[in-house]
Amino acid sequence: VLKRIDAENGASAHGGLSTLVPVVLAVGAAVVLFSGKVAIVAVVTVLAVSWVYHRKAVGAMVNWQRPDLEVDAAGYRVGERVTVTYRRQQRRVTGDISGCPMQARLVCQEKVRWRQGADTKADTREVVSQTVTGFANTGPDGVHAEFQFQIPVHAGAPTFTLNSNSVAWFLEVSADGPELPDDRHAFELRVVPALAWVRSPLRDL
Amino acid sequence: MTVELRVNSPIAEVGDAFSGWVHRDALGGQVSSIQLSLQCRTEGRGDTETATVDYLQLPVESDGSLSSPFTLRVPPLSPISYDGSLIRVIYEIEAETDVLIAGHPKVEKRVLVVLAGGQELYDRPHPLPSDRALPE
Repeated sequence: VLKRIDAENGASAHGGLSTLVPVVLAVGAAVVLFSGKVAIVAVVTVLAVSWVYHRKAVGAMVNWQRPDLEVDAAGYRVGERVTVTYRRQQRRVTGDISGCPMQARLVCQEKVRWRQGADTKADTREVVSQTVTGFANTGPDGVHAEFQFQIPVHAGAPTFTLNSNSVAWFLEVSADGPELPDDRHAFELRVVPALAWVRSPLRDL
Repeated sequence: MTVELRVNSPIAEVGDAFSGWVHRDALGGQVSSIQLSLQCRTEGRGDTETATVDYLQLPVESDGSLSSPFTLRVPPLSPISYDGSLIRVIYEIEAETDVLIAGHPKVEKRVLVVLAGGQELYDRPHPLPSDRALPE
């Protein structure tokens, strides 16, 4: 059974609105520091520089809807060969992007929290980081790309979440082509505590 | 003599169970039961977390003795025994009397909880070492 999931926390891991934060801060600083025509020139300069550096990220927000990922609703077993489909619709067509390479990174992340005095500290560690390549195809429902990878047996652990200790898996998808959006989204994958070559009812829980 | 704990296999898959035998000599005293539990705890950089995964209370005879088989279940989606970078997940079977007696400490036996289907593959916490061959 397949299901579509949104990017983790409803926010892109890179690009998107976060791109605009330094721009807004720079414009604000220009207005505060300068006055009259100098301020206008400073603001225009900031916007021009921002456009040069963030043109594709802004373009991603304007031209593309948020992506989703089609995954197995039952989760994935350790050692399983996995195929997932990334889909993203364009708000307006910017050109044929079929065949453009898209990158994904399979990540297993340990996350811990601990109390130190009155503070709570946190740390994360990537114990799996694998690069996967897919290719974009343009269809009636926008752009889609398939990614194939294997859940490693020799690193990481099945998904679990305790209060202060957790293990989570993500597929972080990014694109790097002239007509592709310049941003990155992380999708959480569920890995169940079963080996791939064993028929297990765990996937149905 | 304290409680004696024998585990048939120190490895169990998630969704399966540990079984064995618990024994206590006739020592009398105020003891009315032996408490047996499967404990899961984390170690590492984060705060230590402990959980009782399964629990049994076995009543002793009138002379304080006990000799009984036991089964402690591992729920299907439990964390597995894991030796990670920031986190370790450790399982132990604990046996203790319901009344603390000086010189009779709690008995603990470390066990492994492994992936479903991993019974024959594991002799240590996950992940498997990179040179471990996998079934085709």
